[in-house]
Amino acid sequence: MGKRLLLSLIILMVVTLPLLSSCTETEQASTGGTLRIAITTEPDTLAGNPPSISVMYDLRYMRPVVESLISRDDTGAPKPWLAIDWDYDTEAKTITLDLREGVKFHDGTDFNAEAAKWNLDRYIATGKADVAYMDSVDVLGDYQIRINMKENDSKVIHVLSLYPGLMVSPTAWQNGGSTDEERDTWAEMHPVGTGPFKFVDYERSVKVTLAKFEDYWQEGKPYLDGMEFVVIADQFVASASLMAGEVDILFEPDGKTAKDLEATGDFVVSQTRYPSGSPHLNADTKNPESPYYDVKVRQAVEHAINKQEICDSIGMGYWQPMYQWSVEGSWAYNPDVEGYTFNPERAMELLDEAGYPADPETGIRFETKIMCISISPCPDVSAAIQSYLKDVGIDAEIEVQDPPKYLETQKTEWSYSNALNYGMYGVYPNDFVCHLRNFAPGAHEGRYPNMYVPEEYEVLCAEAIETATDEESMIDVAHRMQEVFNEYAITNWLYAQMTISAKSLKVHDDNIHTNHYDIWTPEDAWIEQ
Amino acid sequence: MGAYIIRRIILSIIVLLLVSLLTFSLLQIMPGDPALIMLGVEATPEELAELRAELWLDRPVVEQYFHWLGNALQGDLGNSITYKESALGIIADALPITMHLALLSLVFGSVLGIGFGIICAIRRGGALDTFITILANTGISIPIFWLGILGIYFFGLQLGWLPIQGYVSPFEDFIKNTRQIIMPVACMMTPSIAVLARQTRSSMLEVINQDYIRTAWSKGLKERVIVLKHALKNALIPVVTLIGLQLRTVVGGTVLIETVFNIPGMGRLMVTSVFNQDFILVQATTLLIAMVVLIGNLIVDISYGWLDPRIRYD
Repeated sequence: MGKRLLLSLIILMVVTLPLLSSCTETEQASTGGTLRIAITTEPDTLAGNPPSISVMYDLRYMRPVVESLISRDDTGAPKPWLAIDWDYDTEAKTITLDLREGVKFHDGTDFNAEAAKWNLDRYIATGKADVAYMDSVDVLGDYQIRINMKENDSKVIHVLSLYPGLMVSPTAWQNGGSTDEERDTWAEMHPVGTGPFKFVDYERSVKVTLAKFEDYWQEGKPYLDGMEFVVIADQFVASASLMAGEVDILFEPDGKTAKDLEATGDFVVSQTRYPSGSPHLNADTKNPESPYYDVKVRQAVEHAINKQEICDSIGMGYWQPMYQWSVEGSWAYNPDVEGYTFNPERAMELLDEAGYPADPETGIRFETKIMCISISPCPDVSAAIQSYLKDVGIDAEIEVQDPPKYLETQKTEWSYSNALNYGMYGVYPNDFVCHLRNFAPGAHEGRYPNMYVPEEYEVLCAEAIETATDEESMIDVAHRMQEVFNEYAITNWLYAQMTISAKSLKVHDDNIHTNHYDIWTPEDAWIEQ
Repeated sequence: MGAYIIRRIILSIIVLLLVSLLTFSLLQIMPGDPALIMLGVEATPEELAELRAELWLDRPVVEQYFHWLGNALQGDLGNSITYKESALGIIADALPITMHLALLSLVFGSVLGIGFGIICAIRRGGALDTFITILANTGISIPIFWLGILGIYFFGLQLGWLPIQGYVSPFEDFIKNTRQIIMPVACMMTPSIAVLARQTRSSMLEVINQDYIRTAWSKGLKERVIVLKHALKNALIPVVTLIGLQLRTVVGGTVLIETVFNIPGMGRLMVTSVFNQDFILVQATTLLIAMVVLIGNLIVDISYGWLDPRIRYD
């Protein structure tokens, strides 16, 4: 009996011990390996000369190499990075930043206050809109700087997570040529930053190669030996490469490809929490001759469009309908603003009230035009909108414009008094800043010259820029802005375009496209060996 | 012969000038402002004006063309709008890759095509002749990009025998390069094999029925000697013409194949340039490709004299 009991116990232990160990086992990052990421768009520059960066995907690719003073957390709020603390004094119009110590550039030189000042001075000298209110930078100590503002601008802290806040080595730039122009040109394609990976090589139209930076300021990281961004323009070839194991991640597959990859069970599709783009319909709302002059017509247009259906079909479920200029989860989102949800009956009521009854024979209330760029998915979405508008009696013709023509249309004052322009802006660094960049006084006149923005809204925008420098006041003013914007239906929001990536199950902790378009954690990324 | 070559060279130069004029004109009528495309909507009017002046876009079209032509004759094809580097330098990186693929396709395609054609001719009416003819007709009909996608699916994904995409220099890694180019070259040479097999078969049949061949048979010469030494050379004259035509087909095919297999050659560069509205690169690549085809045709024409001593260039 005793021997039987002992034997049973031994058998029991042999069987259960592995189970116990797997329950208590935590996934530990393994070191080594090269992460290969397929990209469908070649970088314009390699972010080594921040003043010359003009497209977001450059920054996204080069985040492992070039870091910024400030990062963003999961909600989009500013987060310490190379700057560990900051203090915005609205009375003095200054922002004092404390910098992280012990950080090296890839060329071995120190990141310090002088380097930070040099970088900021160069960007301020460009006069670009994001830094228009920054005047100068003072060095207060080895690791402390002060930004002197011409006027208060709450956006500054946020934009320091983007191009203006990128830190590159002044020494490397200086050695990059004999004239400033040569240095700028060299630096554009030879980034020397503080990131977990250093730049090794760029084969035009082929790949960008990065290698582990041994002296990275986060000790013990990165875990990977290197990274490669492999340029594969064709979606089919890129997804085939992912399936064959030639690459580990595919940036921005189209919706169909993403669904197919996910269905195999061998890949996971991640999706940003915040949009990379916010498509919307703008109209000639300043012109009394235009039907869109009447707010009821603008409200009717939005009620007529089934945004959820567009997101589910054309967006393949990777988009979200938008009823205000933020999405749920953003601190700027106002849960009390319902927006103009899909309601064709209400749309027709509003059009009747606005003086556009349906013709008894044709059912048409008025004719209009939808102008859109020829790049997918704009024509498809425009076709869907056309059918929804038709259902409420608005007969819309679609004009698809090639990018050059579309750019010219955006640049010049529209001569179309009866058109809906399908526009979009990139949402960087967050919806709040981006919205102000496009709709604040002085901004919307250039971007949307024919758009009516009520004075009430302009006052709110000015308040947001000048006084909302802390989180509480930013949230308060953002919520009031949402209310007013919605009341006047200044523009018709369509959907939030989330960015997606397809990844091998062997890749972990990269956080690519889990929150933001451009911020991820290359220092934490690892591959199962 | 010398006079003929000089005459052909002069004609080729005229053709090149016409190609450059046509390309330049087509790009001029494209909608949009290149300066606006380069600088984006944020650009100020002053910045746009400055860039237009730098690119000579503010000058009359005729002046723009001759300015560009003058620079081109000195080897300056301008700076790429997309890459901000010398167009000639960019092409210098891409051209060898395309020529590598094109020449391999042409050589293997010609050898195999002629070989199959000979087999079909000497085994006329047999099972082999029928089989090769069916394959040839299929090869002419199939779009090569579709063939490429099929190849990726079967040999890359399903069997895992060959890489899906990419190109590494043969001087850097010969084995990897060989594995990478098997599918692209096979796709590019398929139409050549098909066309040349059919033409060779037809030419061989015509020559084989000549009296001097019958005489050779009656003298007891071996089949191999009759076919290769006596019949083939005369049968090749129309075939050589076709090889010359295949050169432009193969070079044109690189546009599709390099895109499918993600090979950074001239073909893919041209596609990228068109999509990026990089008119400088489009002009440069078109001119270079035209030059390559013209040189290839000249070589083919000169080779007629070697093939048929009766042919004299007066």
